[in-house]
Amino acid sequence: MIGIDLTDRELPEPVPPMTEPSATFHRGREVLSRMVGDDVIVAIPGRDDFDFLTGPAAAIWDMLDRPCSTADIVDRLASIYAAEPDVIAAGLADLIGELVSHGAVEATDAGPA
Amino acid sequence: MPDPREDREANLLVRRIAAFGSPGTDAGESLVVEERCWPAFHRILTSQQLEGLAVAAATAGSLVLTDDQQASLLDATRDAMLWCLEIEKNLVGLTAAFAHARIDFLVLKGPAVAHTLYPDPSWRPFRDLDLLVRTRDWKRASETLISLGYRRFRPEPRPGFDERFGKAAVHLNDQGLNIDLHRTLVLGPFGLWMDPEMMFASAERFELAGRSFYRCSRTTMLLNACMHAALGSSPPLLLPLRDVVQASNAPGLDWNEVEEHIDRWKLPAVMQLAVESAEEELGVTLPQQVVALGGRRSSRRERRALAAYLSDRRTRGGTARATLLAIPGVRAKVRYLSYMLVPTREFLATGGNQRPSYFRRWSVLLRWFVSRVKRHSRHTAESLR
Repeated sequence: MIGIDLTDRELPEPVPPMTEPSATFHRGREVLSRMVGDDVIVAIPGRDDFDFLTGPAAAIWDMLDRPCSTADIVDRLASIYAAEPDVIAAGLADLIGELVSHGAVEATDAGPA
Repeated sequence: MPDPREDREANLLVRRIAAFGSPGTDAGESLVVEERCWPAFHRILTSQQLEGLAVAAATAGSLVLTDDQQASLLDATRDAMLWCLEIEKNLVGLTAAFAHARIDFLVLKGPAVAHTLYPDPSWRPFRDLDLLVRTRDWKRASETLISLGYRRFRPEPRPGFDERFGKAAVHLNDQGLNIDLHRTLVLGPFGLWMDPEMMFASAERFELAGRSFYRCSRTTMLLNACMHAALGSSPPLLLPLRDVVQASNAPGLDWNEVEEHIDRWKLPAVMQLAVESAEEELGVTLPQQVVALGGRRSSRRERRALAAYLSDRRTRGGTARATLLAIPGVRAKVRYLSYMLVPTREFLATGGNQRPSYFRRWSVLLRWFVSRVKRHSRHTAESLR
């Protein structure tokens, strides 16, 4: 289960370059997914396991349907969840990092969408 | 033991779910499932594969659930969607082998319908993968699946049957994933009367996991949906009927082309049954064009062929007899009959729990023949009176 905690977090140092405000991400081209209520199941061909995205992580997945900058995601999540942008940015860094490492999300600059 | 009253009530609710969000229908009043009805509702809903539509209805506020009901529905939907994703991953995994073998295939129903006809693929779960290949490629396609670790569920009745008279064969892998490898859409006369090559000629693309796959055109998707709804089971299941609703409302349908195909494939009676059942069972209004096509005159031969799928004769050799009538030429009929009456022992052995028996197969024909003789004698006696 992959989620992000928007409360009581300490900011990681340093912030990974992939979560610079201007960094843009989108769903991986080869990724399959399904909504189940508010959650999302993500599958990657060639891998046996699935990722389950819940809460804000599922909302972020929805946003990544098109290339989206981390600054945009933080703004939109801040308005949805009424949380501090710094806290959101930190959680987002972890989530994006994990999704990129699984191949579920790609940096838009890294190649054609 | 299911309570018939609760089953009836649950059935009505499930039909409303099956119609949820249908084009041209109002949301209407929100549905509430009473606790006493929930087990029956859940059982019927999942057996009809309508979990995704129920979640969509609940998200839209059209279905009001308790926390426990919601959790139970989400669990069932999660399981259904995991299986769909597993199937789609396997579909993606097939492409290289089929491309290497130079075999074109169309994705029928399942992922093609979910990703093309529905607002969200989670509305339309599926349990297996149906692929259509050309008859000339069928054997190689089956061998390709076997090379990928699939095994054929049931052998053909006799060598050569599949490519002459067969509809499809189920191939299973170790995960329990089932690929139905088709050379035509349905078993029996309607499968013989249609022209699968036309489906390849008009195929369109859809995207999945960054790859391009072929599916039926919107015209043949509508016909396939109607054939599956009307001929797949009797009475028709709700999800195939919902497919008819979605396919009828697909944008850009060429109604002249639909009409042409219906006539060429001898489908007026099938269309009529599918359209009437969809409207009656789901309480929806279909586009006027499809209703008009469903009201066209059908021939006696087509109606008799349809009857073979609908009555209990279906399980007593009815489809095989109707197929025999639809096969052109005496030699081909004799060959079909010989395949059906004297299949291999290997085929007989996979026929279920009963002991393999040629006599049991022949007795079906014998009973049919005796009933025909009796009916003929009765008619003769009445006409002499």
